[in-house]
Amino acid sequence: MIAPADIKKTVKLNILRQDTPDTHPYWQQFEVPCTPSSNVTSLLRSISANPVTAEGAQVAPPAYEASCLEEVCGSCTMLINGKVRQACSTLVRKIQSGHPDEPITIEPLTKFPVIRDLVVDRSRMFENLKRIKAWIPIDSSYNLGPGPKITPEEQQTMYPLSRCMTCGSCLEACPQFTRDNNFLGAQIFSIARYYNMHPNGKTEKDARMEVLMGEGGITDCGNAQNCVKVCPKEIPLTESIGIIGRAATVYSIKKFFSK
Amino acid sequence: MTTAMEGSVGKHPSAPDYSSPPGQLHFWLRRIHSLAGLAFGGFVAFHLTVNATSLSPAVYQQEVNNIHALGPNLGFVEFTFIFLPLLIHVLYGLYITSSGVKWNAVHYNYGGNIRYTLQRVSGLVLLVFLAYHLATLHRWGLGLIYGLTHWSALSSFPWFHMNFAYTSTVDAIKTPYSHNPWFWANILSDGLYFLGVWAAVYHLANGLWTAAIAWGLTITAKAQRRWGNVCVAIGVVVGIIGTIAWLGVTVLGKPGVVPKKNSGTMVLSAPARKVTPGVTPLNLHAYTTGIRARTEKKTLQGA
Repeated sequence: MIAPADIKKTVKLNILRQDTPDTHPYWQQFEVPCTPSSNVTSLLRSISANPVTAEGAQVAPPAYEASCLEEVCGSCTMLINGKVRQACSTLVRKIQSGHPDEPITIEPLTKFPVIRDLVVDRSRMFENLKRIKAWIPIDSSYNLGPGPKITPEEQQTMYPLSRCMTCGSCLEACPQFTRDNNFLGAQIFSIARYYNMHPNGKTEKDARMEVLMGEGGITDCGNAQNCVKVCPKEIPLTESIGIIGRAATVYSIKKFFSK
Repeated sequence: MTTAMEGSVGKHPSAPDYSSPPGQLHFWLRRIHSLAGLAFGGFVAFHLTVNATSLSPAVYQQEVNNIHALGPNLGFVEFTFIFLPLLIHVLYGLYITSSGVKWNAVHYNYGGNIRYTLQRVSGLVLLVFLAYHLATLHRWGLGLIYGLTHWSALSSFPWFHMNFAYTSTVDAIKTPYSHNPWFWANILSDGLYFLGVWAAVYHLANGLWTAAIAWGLTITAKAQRRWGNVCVAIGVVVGIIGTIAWLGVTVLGKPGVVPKKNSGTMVLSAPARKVTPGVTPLNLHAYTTGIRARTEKKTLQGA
């Protein structure tokens, strides 16, 4: 393997560390070996194997999450050079081109509580999924038989929506989503659209709309549209926001006149 | 498993508290905010169009006469269709801007995010501008400001007067200390008006774009782009009209000139107040009595 000229043998990493959820974060610099095919997860793994800072101090290895290593689980989502990305799919060569000497900054997500170092608590997203009943009711006292047909056209719309891996990138980049408020965010609007489209999921549509039109719901979207720009799965999130907005308009009129 | 989950939706301790107001009050407030913005935006377009006629003082006076033909109903129309929507839009807009948002247009400098941030910044600029604009020009505005600063004693028209539409507008925008357009305070005042016009144009055009998404009219990225082009066109047209209006009453404005032809409908409706002799310019009371009567008399003689 021949390394391009601008790739150095080592790379500097500035990592924002935090020992416990309640202590103050602090920066630590590491210098680790780097190959042309290194990604940020492999650098973090190198640090774990030899947790010595650039100054030579032996420290506890930085805690981080990683699971699939192929950008389908979302667990390694973090801020790399200030922007939200998955560590596993971030090639050092790509983010370093032109600036091989500059350290790469690694920070935990800012919109979720830090548990330790780069590990954050993203259960708010799961709680929100439960609030909008992000499931398909299949339980009954008798066999319901095979599920209803979904046309290939519907499948083509639904499949990209189903790719959401609950990584939280859309929420991290959203100026309306903060740790202090209760905004649901693009993830929920898109998943709600997905379940509202499903022939069985449709039965819970009104219950979903009640939640989506409440506090933190669709009206709190400010249309900054960062979500769709940062989504690693290229889900048409702003389209979902428009769809939920339309559904809310229709539902509000329906409710006003007939409920 | 599913039944258990469906039956009791447990809440994780770290999840935020949700307490939706009953009957989707939260939803309706935001949609009313949107409608109020549309109503006030319509007024702004109308207002700028009327003011653009100030290039011809006689036509401008005629337009003002037409508006004031509503007579006593004008106040009702103004309150219901202008001030009430404005008040709702401003109050809820401030709530939106302040309720725990985290602006990040520096880190995520996408076009949409910059527009989002500018929408909020232009709203705050407009708040300052409208406070100044209403206090110094509208008849409901606080004459107090003029009284306290004694500007009233120096100005021929401290604020807008329907019977001297052009002159009073130009005079009230200019500082009474000097009518020289290059006087620093006039540059400041004229500049604030220019900023106000374009902040309003941006806020209106971008508001139309986001309202279409909020109501669910535009959904796909393509449709949003298409409607975005229409919004830009609306903004350019209103912006040009607004700039003409701005030119007419600031840079090209001729202070102290009363239109020669007042088209016959000009009526002096101001009550003939008794002028207290010996009122000094420093007297706050001077504004409400002496100044108005004196200037009206003077301009009538001039015409």
